[in-house]
Amino acid sequence: VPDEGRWRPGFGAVAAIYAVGLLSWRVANHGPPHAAGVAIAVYAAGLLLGPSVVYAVLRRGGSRVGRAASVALGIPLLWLVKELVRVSAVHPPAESLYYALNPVAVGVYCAAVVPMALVEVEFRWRSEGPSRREAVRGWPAWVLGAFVLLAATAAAVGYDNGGREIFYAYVALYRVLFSSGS
Amino acid sequence: MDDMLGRRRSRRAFLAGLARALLHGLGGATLGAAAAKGGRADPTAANRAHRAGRAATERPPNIVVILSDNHRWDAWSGGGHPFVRTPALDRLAREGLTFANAFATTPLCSPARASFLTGRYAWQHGVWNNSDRGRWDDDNVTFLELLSRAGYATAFIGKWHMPGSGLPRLRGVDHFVTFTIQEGQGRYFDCPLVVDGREEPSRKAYLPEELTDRAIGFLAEPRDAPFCLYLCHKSVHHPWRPAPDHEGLYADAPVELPTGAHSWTGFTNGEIFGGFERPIESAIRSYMATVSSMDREIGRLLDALERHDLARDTVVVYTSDNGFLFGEHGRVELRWPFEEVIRIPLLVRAPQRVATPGRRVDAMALNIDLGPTLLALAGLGPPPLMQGVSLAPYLADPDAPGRQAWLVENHREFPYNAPSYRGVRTERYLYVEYEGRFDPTLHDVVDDPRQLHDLMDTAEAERVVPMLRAQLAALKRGERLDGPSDSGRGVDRAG
Repeated sequence: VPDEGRWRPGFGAVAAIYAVGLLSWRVANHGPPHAAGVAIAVYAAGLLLGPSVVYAVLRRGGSRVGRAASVALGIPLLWLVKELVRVSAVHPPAESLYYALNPVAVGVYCAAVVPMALVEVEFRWRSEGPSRREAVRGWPAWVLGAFVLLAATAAAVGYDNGGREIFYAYVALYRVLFSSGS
Repeated sequence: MDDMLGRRRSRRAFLAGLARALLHGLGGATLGAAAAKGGRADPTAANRAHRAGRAATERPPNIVVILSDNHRWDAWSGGGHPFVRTPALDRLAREGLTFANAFATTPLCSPARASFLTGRYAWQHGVWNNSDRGRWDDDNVTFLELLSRAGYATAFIGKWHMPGSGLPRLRGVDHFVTFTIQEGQGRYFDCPLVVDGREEPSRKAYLPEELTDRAIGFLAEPRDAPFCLYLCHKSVHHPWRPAPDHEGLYADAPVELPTGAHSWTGFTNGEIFGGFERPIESAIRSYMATVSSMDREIGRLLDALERHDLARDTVVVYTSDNGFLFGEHGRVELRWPFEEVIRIPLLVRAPQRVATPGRRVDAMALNIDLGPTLLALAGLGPPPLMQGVSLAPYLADPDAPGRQAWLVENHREFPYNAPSYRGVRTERYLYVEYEGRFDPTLHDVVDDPRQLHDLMDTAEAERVVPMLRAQLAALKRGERLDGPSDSGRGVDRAG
């Protein structure tokens, strides 16, 4: 199936959602305390649900999965870049890159991908062509993978008292990679 | 008395050890480098007199040190907190002295713990942070080792938590109870223990209760020699868990957040690793309930001292490794050079030694002073390696003058936000130089105790920063600015 979509609507949606996110982040950090909760909720919604909005826009515009997903994931990518800039004020570049693998960041990616997977399911369900049963049977592996990953993450964090052992394992790997034997 | 090899020590051996250690102390001690000026009392001389006068006639006191974790200096009822109740700490303050200006030289668990034990700054003892920079060196000399050499029976019970390969070989510690799970942080319930090198399950479900039981068991052992018990609680480190009957103890307490904080500060700017997976108000209530649970255990220990007729002969010290930020400066963390973090509680009860129980001492006291203080109370002097000074003179004279300035330092720890820094704290100023993309900061902690106004671009900074930089350079070189100094106070005010 040819990719009939366009990049521009996706980039526009990413820019709009990220701009709202930055604004709400500023309010959360520097605005009145009573507005902080709402601002953080808006920011989190943009980060976690924004990719699925972008994904839906692109899919309905005729984009194939690859284009829609890569543009939609620009939102957590921009968030990550912002985080790495912040972290690099304290830690060297290589260690800052390793920060991208911290459990909270990984949780954000998982949590962002799952709504996209739901959009994909909904899109196939409504789309013409294959029957609904075939659409369900034809779920791409990444859709299933996203569900499995999120479920596994949630179970591990719940089992592990908020994910403490996972965090300690992450720090232990950091020591192996970056420190000299301690 | 058992030594590390499990041998029994005789009273004669104890006295011989005490004499050796006393000679070592008098010959090698470098207590209080700076001389007193302007007719003020000289802590060094007072120390010497204190040692000489006592050691010949008195049996050294027993020593109990209780070290908690992340306990803010103001989070106890005697410290003015609006709702937490800490009757045991209040009792210690009432019957002893409160050091109202006590500080951690590195406001982080492992380095601070090593500083307590060794009497040295982090850049000297080598434990730079909790996990990845530096490590505990078994060649470090601890006050426990020196007390043991002098004949004390010693026990380390509780949180060790220092980076290194496994548990240390602590010379001079007769009884070592600790835990290693969760990177040495332990857990509040059903925490497996390591008892003298052997793994054992906890007998009590709640860790503070288990540790207190073991501490009471140690002090109740019949012995001729004095003892030193070093009890290190996990409380009140996150995840805060009070005793089951204290759950919800402060559920209805009104929590007032500091300026700049909101309920969700723990979710901003990477602060999530500070341990706040919930609104700050909820975390504070749990923290305070955990403080009260720990306080109850401290009360049990004090009662046991009474019950075993040991209270009169036992010096009890309560302190913590560092403080904590509950939203101040938009952070829920430690490590940063803010008063809420570097200040620690320090209470000393020393029956028959404190001249005026219930008094407060305003001179600046440091974690590195613990070792020299305990050694002085035992009639010993600290070895030259120790960088702190004895606080024993304040027992007789709470108004004795204090040190001029000291070094505050931090070494970055991945993935936390605080950069490496070194700074100098005087009675009035806190000046800090950072690594990474951070500019130096200067705060007047007398007029602006919450450090809301950075003075670096003001005329005041032009006046005082050169001298503070000179002091910082001296401290980095290892010089001590311990003694009371008119010039130091002059710098503080006029530059």
